[in-house]
Amino acid sequence: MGWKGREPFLLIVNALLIVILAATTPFMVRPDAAGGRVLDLSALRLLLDNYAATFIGAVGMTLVILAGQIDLSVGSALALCAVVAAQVSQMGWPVPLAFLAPILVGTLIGLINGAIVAYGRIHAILVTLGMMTLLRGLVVHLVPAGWVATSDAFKGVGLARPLGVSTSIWIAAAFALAMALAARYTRWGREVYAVGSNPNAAAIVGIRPHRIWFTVLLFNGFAIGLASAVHASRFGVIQNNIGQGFELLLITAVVIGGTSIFGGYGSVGGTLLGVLFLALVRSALIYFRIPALWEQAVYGAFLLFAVGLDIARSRAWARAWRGGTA
Amino acid sequence: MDAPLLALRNIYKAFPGVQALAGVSLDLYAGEVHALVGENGAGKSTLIKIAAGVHEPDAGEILIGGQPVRLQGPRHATALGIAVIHQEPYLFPTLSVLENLFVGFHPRRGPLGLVDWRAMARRAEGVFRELGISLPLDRPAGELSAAQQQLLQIARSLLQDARVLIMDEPTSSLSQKEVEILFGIIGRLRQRGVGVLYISHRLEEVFALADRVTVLRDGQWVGTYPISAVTPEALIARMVGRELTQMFPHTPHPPGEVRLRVQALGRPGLFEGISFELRAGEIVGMAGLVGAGRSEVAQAIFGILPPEEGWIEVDGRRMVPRAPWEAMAAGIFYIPEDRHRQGIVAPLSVRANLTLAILRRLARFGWIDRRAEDALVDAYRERLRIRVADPEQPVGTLSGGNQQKVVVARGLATQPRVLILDEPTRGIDVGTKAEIHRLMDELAGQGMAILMISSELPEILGMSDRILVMRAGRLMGELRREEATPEQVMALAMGLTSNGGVQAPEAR
Repeated sequence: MGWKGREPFLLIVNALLIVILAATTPFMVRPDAAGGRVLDLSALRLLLDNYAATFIGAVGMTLVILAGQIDLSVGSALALCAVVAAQVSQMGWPVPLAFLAPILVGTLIGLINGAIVAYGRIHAILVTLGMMTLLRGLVVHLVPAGWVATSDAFKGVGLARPLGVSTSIWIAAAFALAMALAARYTRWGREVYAVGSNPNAAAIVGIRPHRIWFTVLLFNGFAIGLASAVHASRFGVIQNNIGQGFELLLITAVVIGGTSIFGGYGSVGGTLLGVLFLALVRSALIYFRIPALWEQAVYGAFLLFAVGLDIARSRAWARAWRGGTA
Repeated sequence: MDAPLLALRNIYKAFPGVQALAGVSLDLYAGEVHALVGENGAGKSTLIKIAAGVHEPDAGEILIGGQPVRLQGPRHATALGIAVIHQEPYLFPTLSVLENLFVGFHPRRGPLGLVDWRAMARRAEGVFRELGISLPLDRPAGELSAAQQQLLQIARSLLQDARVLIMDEPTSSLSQKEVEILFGIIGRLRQRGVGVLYISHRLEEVFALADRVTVLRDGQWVGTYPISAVTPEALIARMVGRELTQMFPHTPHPPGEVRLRVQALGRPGLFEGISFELRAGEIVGMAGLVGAGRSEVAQAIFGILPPEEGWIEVDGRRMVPRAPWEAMAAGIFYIPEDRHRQGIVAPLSVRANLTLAILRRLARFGWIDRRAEDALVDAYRERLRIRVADPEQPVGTLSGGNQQKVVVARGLATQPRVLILDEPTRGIDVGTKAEIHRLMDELAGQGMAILMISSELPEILGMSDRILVMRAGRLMGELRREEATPEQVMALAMGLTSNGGVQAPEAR
C-alpha cells in the first residue's frame, strides 16, 4: 500500500527495542576476555529461529484478514500437522516426504475451512472455531503419551545452517517474500484487497468474492502446514498442547503490523515487523525478569491498543470519505 | 379555526453543495389529510426530517399548536406529538408485537418499577379497537406482513399520543386490499382529530385521500391547493414547470443493430414484464420516481439481482445472467448508483480501482503487467481528465466528481458493448457533470449502446434518444426524443393515463 502505512513507525520502534535491549541487558552482548562487552548477534538469530513458524503463520493470516476473513483453527492445525510430521518421520519416511506430509494435511484443512465458508456461506469465525476444537481433539487422540518426537534426520534439517542462516529462516523468508510479492503484484493479491475492503464493489466488477475467501483460507492451510514442518524440524519434540493461543498471537501480530481487522488494508511487511515486535517484547520481559504470567496481559494490551488505532483510522476514513469503508 | 397542529414557516435548509429547501411553508390542521408532492429531489424528505426533529432548519420557524418550538431531536418531536411512519418500518423483528408497541416507554408499576404487562395489553387492545384492526400481540414483529408492520407503527404512535402523523410513501409495499384497509384507518385517524401529512408518488391516492395538497419543486414552495381546485394534470405541470436552461451535448445518431434485448424480465415483488431493446449508438434514458424499480431492472440485467423471469439477449445471444461476471463476459457493464457502497474501493489507490475489472486482461500467469497497467491508467486519466496528483493516492481522498470518473473509467476499460449508467451524475459538480455527458455522447457516437437511469428530468430529456418510463415495477411507456416533454414523462411516472384519468394502483 505504502500510503501512510505503519511500517516506518514499527521499524523505528523495533530498532529502539533492540538498542535498549543491547544497552541494558545481556541480550546480544557477551563479555570479552578483557571483561568488556562485545556485540553478539547470535541471540537475535536464535530469536528469529524460534519465531520462524510464527512468521510463516502470520503471513498466511495476513492474507486471510486482508480478505475480510479470520482463521481461528491455526493453532490446532499447527499441532496436528506437526504431529503428522513427527509420526511419518518416525515411520522412516524420507525427509522431503516427511516435510511434504504436514503441508498436505494443512492444505486439506484449509480446503475444508474454505469450502465451508465460501460455498456453505457460514461465517469463518464459526467454521474455524469448530475446526479448532475438532483438530485439537484429534491431536490428543493421536498422541496418547502427550508428546511425540521426530526422527533425528528430520530434526537435522531444522538445525542445519546453510550460508550461516538456519533452514527455518530461509523457508520463512522465501515464503514471506513470495506472499508479499503476490499480495502486491498479482491479480489474486489485488482482488484480495478489493474483496476485503468492499465485497459489493468487487462483485460488481466481476470478481467473485467467495472464490477469494476460499483461496485465502486454502492458502492459509498451506502456510500452517509449512509452519508446522518448520516448527517440528526445529524443536524435534511435539507436545499435544502446542499451538494453543497461536491464533491470537498471529492475529495480534497482524493487527499490530497495521493490517485492518476489518480487511482491505495492510501489508505482509507490516506483519513481519509486528511479529518481530512481539518477539522483542517477549525477550525484554524475560531479561527484565517479569513473570511469564504477564506476557499474555502485555500482548493483550498491545492488541487492544492496535485495534483501537485501527478503529480510529477506519472512522477517520469514513468521515473523510463520506461512508468509505467502516 | 384553531391554530394548526403543525406549521412550518419559511423553512430554509442547505446541505453541502445543495440548497435542499428555500422558503417552504406548510400547515396541517386537526382532522386534515395534507398531501405533499414533488419530483425526486424536490425536498420532501428534507421537509419531513425537519418536522420530525432529525434536521434543524437553517432559517424559518416551526410551530406546534401555535407555539413556536425548537426541536431538539427526534425524541423531542415525538414528545410533542409528531410521529413518522416510515416506508421501511423500524422495528425489532425478534420482539413480540406488544413489546414493539411499547419499546422505550413501557408502563411501570409497583415500588420496583416493574414493567406492567397487563396495562400494556389493555392499552394495546384499546388502540386496536379504535383503529378497527387486530394484531396478534405475542407474535414476533418480524413475522408480520409489511402491511401489519405499518399498522403496528401507526398503533405505536397513537399510544405515544401522536397528533401529527407523517406518512412517507406508506403504500409502496402494500397490496390493493391492504391499501384500502390503510385508507379506512386514515379515515378514523382523521375523525379522531389527528392531522396526517401524506407523502406519495401516487396521484390517485392523493386525490382519494387528501383535503389539501402542497407542491414542492427544487426545494421551493410552489403552492398549496384545496384538492377540489386542482386536476392531476395541473399538479404535474406545477411539479415539473421549470425552464430547461441547461444545455446537453447530445447529437442523435442513426441507431445501429440491436445490442441488448430484454425480454419479459421479472423478479416478483420488484418488477415484472420488462421488455425493451437497446441499439448500438443509442442512449436510452430510464425515468421514473424513486422506488419504481429502475435500478433493480439494471441490476437484474447485470446479474446482481438475477432475474427470476424472462431473459436478455446480448448481440443475439440469449442468456439469464446469474452474476456480474457472466454479464461482463457477454459485454455488459454496469456503473452503480451508490458510489460508496458499490463503486469505489476507498482505501485502494486510483490505479488499483481503475484496473480492478480488467486484472484478468492485465495479468500474465497471474502477475500484473505493471507497464501495461500504467499506460492504461495514464490513458484514462487523460481521456476523462481525472484530477489526481498521484495515481497511488487512495481513491477515497478524491472529490466526488473525480471518484465518479474513476468508476466510469473502470467501466470503459472493460470495453463494454452495452453500458448501463445508474444516476451517473448524482452528487457531482456541474463541470464534471458536463464532462460525463460529453463522454456519453462520444461513446454513443462510437457505437456503444447506453442505458442511463436518471432521476433528473432535464438530464433524461437532454441526453436520451428514447425514454423508457417505469412505475411500480412496470414499464409504463416509451417516448421518442422529439415527442417527449417533462409533463409526459411525469404523467407516465405517476400513473396518469392519456385520457386525463388516474390509473388505479395495481396489486403487487
